[in-house]
Parts: sequence; C-alpha cells; structure tokens
Amino acid sequence: MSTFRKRFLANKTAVFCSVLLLLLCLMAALAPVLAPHDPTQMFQEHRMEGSSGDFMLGTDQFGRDLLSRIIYGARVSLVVGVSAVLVSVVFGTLFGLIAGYFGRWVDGFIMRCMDVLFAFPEILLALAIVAALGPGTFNTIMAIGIVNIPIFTRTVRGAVLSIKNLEYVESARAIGASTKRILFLEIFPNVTAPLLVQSSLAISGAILTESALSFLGLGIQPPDPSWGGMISEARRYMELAPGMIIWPCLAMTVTILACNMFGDAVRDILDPRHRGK
Amino acid sequence: MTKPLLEIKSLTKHFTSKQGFFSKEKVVRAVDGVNLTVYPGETVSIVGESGCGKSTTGRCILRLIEPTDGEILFEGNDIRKLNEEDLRRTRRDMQLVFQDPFASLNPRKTIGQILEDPLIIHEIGTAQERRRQVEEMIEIVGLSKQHLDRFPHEFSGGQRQRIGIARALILRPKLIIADEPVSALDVSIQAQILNLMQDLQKEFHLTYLFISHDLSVVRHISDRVAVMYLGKVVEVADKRSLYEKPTHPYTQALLSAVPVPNPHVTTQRIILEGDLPSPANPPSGCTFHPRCRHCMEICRTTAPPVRELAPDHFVSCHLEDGDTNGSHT
Repeated sequence: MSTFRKRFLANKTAVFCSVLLLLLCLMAALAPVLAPHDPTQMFQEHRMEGSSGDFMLGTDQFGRDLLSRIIYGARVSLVVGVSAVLVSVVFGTLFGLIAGYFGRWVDGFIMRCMDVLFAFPEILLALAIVAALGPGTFNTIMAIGIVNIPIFTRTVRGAVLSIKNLEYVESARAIGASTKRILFLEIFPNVTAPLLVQSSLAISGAILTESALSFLGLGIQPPDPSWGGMISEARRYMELAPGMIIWPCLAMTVTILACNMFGDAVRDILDPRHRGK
Repeated sequence: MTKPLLEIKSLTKHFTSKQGFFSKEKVVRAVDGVNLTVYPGETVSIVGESGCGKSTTGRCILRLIEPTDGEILFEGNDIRKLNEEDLRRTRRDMQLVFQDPFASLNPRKTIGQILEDPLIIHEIGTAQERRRQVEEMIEIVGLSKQHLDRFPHEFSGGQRQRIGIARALILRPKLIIADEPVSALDVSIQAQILNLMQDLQKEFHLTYLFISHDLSVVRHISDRVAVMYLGKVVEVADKRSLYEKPTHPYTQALLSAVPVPNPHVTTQRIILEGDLPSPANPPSGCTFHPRCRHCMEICRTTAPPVRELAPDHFVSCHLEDGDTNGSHT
C-alpha cells in the first residue's frame, strides 16, 4: 500500500484534484459558517444585482445571495452524488460478485436484468424512476443510484471472472472456507481498485444527472438551493443577470472536472503497466 | 503393507462442452478410469505430459472439481458421498500445494493472515494460540517471524512456495497433494524446496501425492510412480523398478528423454511421433497405439487390461513382459 501512496503523491493531477475535492467537501460541510447570508433569505431591494461588497457574486431574481446559494448547493450536489454512487456500489458489487462467481444461469439472469437497465438512456430512466417515486432528495438519490448499478455490476463481474480461477481462491476452497468468506474476504479486496476508479467517475455523472433532474424540476425542490435548479431558474434572466447562470455552471464544471480527473489519475496509478516505475 | 490412506477406484472426470445451442455436446475425457492406492507415509508421484489429466486427478481427490464417476476412499470413507459440512472437516486432513507461487497467495493479505486463515476457518484455538502456531510454522519452513507482517509481493518465488507449504501444513494434514510444486522455480531453488518437503515429511509423518512432469524431480522424491497418458494410468511401480525396468512403451519413451548429466554417455532417444491426441476424441483400443512403436493389431481394437508384472508393478499394455526391454538401454 505504501507504493500506492508514493505514486499517488508523485502524480500532480491526483494530488491537485484530491485537494480540490477536499476543499469542496469542506465548503459543503462548513456551509453555515462560510455562507455570508441565509441561502433562502430574499433581499427585495437587491434583485439581480452584479457583484458587490455585500453580495460577492450578486443576487438572483428574488434578491437571494448567489454565493450562499452556491455554497449550500454544493451540499446537495455532493450528498446526492456520493450517496447515489454508494447505492450503486453496494448493489452493483453484490450483483457483480454473485454473477461472476456463480456463473451459469445466475450470471445470465443478473446480467440480462442489467442489460435491460442499460438499454435505457441514463436520464430517461432516472426521470421515469423519479416520476414513479415522486420528487425529493431521497428519491433522487435512489433513482440515480439504480441507474448506475449496471456499470458497477459489469465492472465487478469482469474482475471476479479473472480472479475466481486464480490459485489463491482455489486454495481457500481447499482449506474449507465458506462461499461467503471466499466472496468477501478473498475476492472482494482484489476488486477494490477498479471499483475506486469507477466510483470517482460515476460521482461526476451522478452530480450531472442530479442537476439535470433539478433543472427539469424533478430533483431537489425549491426553495432549497441546488446547482441544477439555479441554472434552470437563471435561464429566463440570462441577458439581464449573466452571473446567475455563470456561477453555478462554473461550480459544477469545476466539481465534475475534479472528479473525472481524479478518477483518471487513480486509474493511471493503479494500472499494472506503470508498476515498477 | 498397512491399510491405504487413499484409494482411488476408477475415478472419471468428463468435461462437457457445448459450443452452440444446437450443436452436439462434446465430451472431454480428462480423467478416464484412474486407479491408484496411496499408503500412509509414502510419496506417490503422478507423471505425464501436459493435458494428460494429472492435475485434474489431484483436484478431483479434494473435490475441488466434482468427479463424474468413481470412488475416492480417504481412510476408508468415500469423499464423494460426504455432505458439504463433512467435506469441510475432511479437507483439514488433505491439503494442496500449488504450482504457481505468484497466483496462490492473495496479494491483499499479509503472510500472517494467510497462515492464520485455515485456523480461523476450522475454529482452532484462541487468537494468541493461533498466533503462536503461525509463528512456529513460519520458522519450520525456514522463514522468520518478521516476515509475517509483509505482503506476498515482497517475497521471491522460493520464499512464496515455502509460505504455500506452511499454509498447507498448518492444519496438520495427513495427505498433501502437491501439484507441480517446484516446476515454476529455478533449479537451485527446486532442490531446496524438495529437501524441505522431505524433511517435513519425516517430521509430520506426511503422505505426498506428487504431481509433476519432471522425471528427475520425481526420481528424487518418490517411493512409487504412476505414469499417466490421456486420462489413464498406464504403468504403476515402485521407483526402482520403474526407472530400471520400464515396461510400457510410453514410459520407456518418457525415460529416454531424461537428459543424462554426463557428456560421454550417449543414450538412444525414443522419439514419439505425432501429438498427444485430443481427450475429446481419444483413439480406439489402447489410446497410445497411434504413437506406439510396438503397435499390434489387437492394440487398435481392444483396450489393454491391467496386468501385475511383479509385486506392485502394474502395467496396462498388450505386450508380454520382456518383449520391449531389449530396445531400451
């Protein structure tokens, strides 16, 4: 593990992105301290203003402070992104382990179900699930989580297929280990690397899907601030107050880029072809 | 002799492969009626070229691969009739040492964890007792306590194979099935591991079933040798009579291929013609007949019976004893 740490620290992209993500998390966690105003408080006499001393990024059509709303919006984006991916990781790993290890009809059944989920465009499926469950933070998380399960199932299944015939798995069986033990203590620790890469890439996708759902009015409900919702509202006032749409878009771009680049960097670090460098 | 520890009777493993939905099932006869008896304390080797079914035989004995047919009697109990729980308990008494020391240790576990796992699975001792046993075992195989907190990738091939042996030994089994345990190692390391295995055999009264394609290694370690060809045992004998008086034409060909470490001795090599036939479509009669130098009419049609030439020397060939010995010297 120490070699992983060394190579991680040597990779500038990885370090930069992880610092950026850490700052974003801190920002979300400390939102009540950092935000200069209540994100839902309306200053009627300051509607759609540009940046000023009191409102650093300006205000929206109701006179709410944009900076405070972006800071609070980070909470929504990160919480929804991370929890949705957590849902997909848990179920995807479970299905992938079972499908890969048992093979035969179990594998066929699980993978055909995943193919069905895969067949729908991501956003359409999320929309359908939210439409069925109703809008709200929890339902948004579940919808995005379910949509991403097939990716993780495939990732894990592929890794399990290559590992399950290795001799150390056979040796665990020869010793008399139970199937549960083999799956979770012998095989699972060896699929964490592709899982980690896939997760960081999926988080950015989940954040994007959440914004899209909020943009369409099916995600986080107003007046709670979310980046997607802010962009949606700003659409009509773009010419009058460009800051309203620029700042939340910028926040989202930075977050998604950081997640993606982090994932790419980790994949490079874990790639066996780079080993021994 | 005493009661056998392991008795294999007409063990058979057929793999079926289906290529398409409508195509006919193909049957690969990987192991086709193997009989073998192993007595406590001895080392029996199975030799043969790759694909002859020797590894499959080893794995069938542990039921890591379910045999298609036959009996596997371990201390008189048929392994094939055991239920899941009894099988788990019986596996304490028979362990496997693997060929590839790089694939046989989980890269995410420390050596200490790898060695302790068997004890945890079989609920042996408290945490301290287990730790003590693990420390004892790592020293028995010639490594030290400091190695326990390291990961497999920090070790060389020979050291890893020692760890693999320690893992197999920690449950104090009676039978060790060693599947090509030294063929992935350098020659100098091979000797160390073989000597270690012989020392351990004396210390723990182990019985080895040694699977190998290397005849020099087999000669070094075995008491008795079984030669396999295309899923069948063609000749079984104690080491001495097999190496000095090989009877089956296949055994003769194999032995003639062993290099002699003396440049002044020229040996006559028996070159086998053709390739190993596919076990999916074995030849009729004696499966060796297309490559045999002494092929007769009967060989093409009838599978040879097993004959006892001398006490404990069994061969499955139509040739009468003595017919072929003149040609091999």
